[in-house]
Formats: sequence, structure tokens, C-alpha cells
Amino acid sequence: MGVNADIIFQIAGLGILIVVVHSVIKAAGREELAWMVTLAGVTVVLWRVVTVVNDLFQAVRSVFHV
Amino acid sequence: MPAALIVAGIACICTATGGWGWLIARQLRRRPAELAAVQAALQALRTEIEYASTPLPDALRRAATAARGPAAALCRLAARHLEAGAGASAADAWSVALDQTDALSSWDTSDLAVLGQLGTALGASGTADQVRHIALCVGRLRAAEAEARGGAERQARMWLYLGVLAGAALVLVTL
Repeated sequence: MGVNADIIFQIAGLGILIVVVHSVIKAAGREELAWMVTLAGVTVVLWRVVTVVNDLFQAVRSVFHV
Repeated sequence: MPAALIVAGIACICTATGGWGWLIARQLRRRPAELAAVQAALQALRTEIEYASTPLPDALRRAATAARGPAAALCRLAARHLEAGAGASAADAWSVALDQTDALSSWDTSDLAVLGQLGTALGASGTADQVRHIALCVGRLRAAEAEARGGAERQARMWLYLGVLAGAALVLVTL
């Protein structure tokens, strides 16, 4: 359970950071770079989520011996 | 792992990425002034070639006194290579000097390309042709300077913030 709470806070922190970075780059007039950074951030977060979901599926499979 | 070690690691990462952002910001802030300096040097070189018909090494040395920073170093090095290299063309001397000055300067690749093109004309044609090439080069550098001055401060601030924020992101991902 502790690990899951950690990952929630980590993803929240990344989200806040991505929003700040996006606005800083957009204010400098480079909107395409801002969107690229946002996309990279979303990819990192998705990768984390997919890893956790994969762990969950593995646990379910081992519980039900599938 | 002790908390103090983690905090020290976070501080190291943020300092490193912040320093990287600061270096890029410093380059962006310096570029307009360095472009103005190289224009001043080229104008002096043009005057020496057009009105005084000074030999190229001397003209380059006098142009170096009209500027400061990398522009002065470029002219001084080109003059030195021209005198030292027996049989080497002015274009070769200029090209070598440009390569050596690149590390000291904040010029970007387009500025270096413009300056590199000028080297092929120096000492290889008549006075009128050289003067025309210098004027063309100065015009292009002036346009690059105006463009750089327009967004330099905003871009520099962006890189300063991005450096520290990239460190924070790295810490969050690795923690």
C-alpha cells in the first residue's frame, strides 16, 4: 500500500511540474517546445501507470492461478 | 539510505541542471553584444581595405583593436595565422581562427556560417569585391543581432527556470 501512495504523490508532483514548465516555455514564446515537454511528461507518467497496472494484473493472475 | 544523503543528492542534481540552464542563458544574453562587436571589427576591416589599402594581416590586427571579446580574438588569430603559415591562404587562416574562437564565443551555427563565408572572399579578390562581401556579411549579422535582441532576455529567463525545473523533474522521476 505504501508503494502505491508513493506513486500517487510522485505522479501528482510530476503533473504540477509539467504545468509549471509548460507555462514557463509558453511565456517565452515557444509553444511547440512547451507541448513537446508536456507530451514527454505525459509519456513518463503513463509509463509509470502502465508498470503499476501490469503489477496488478500479475498479482491477479497469481491469485487465481490463471 | 540516510535522509541527509538524499538531500545532498537532490541539491547536487538541482545545482547541476540549474548551472546548465544558467550557462545557456548566459550565452543567449551575450550573443547580441558579441554580434555587435564582430560588426564593429568588420567595419574597421572594411575601412582599412577600402580607404587605406592596408595589407590583410595589418588590416586584421587594426580591426582587432576596434572590437573586444571573441571578435577581437578572431581578427588577431587570423592575422597571426596569416603571417605564420607560409603559403596558407587568407581563407585557411580565417577558417582556423574561426574554429579556435568558436569555443570562446556565443555565436551560433548560423553566425559561424556567415563569418565562414566571408573568409572565402578575404584576400582572394579585388578591393571592391572584398568590400562588397564585408558589407553583405555585416548586413546579415545586423539582422541576426536585431533578431537576437528581440527575444534574448525572455529566452534566457526561460532556460534559467528550465534548468532548475529539469533537476526537480529528474529528482521526482528517480526518487
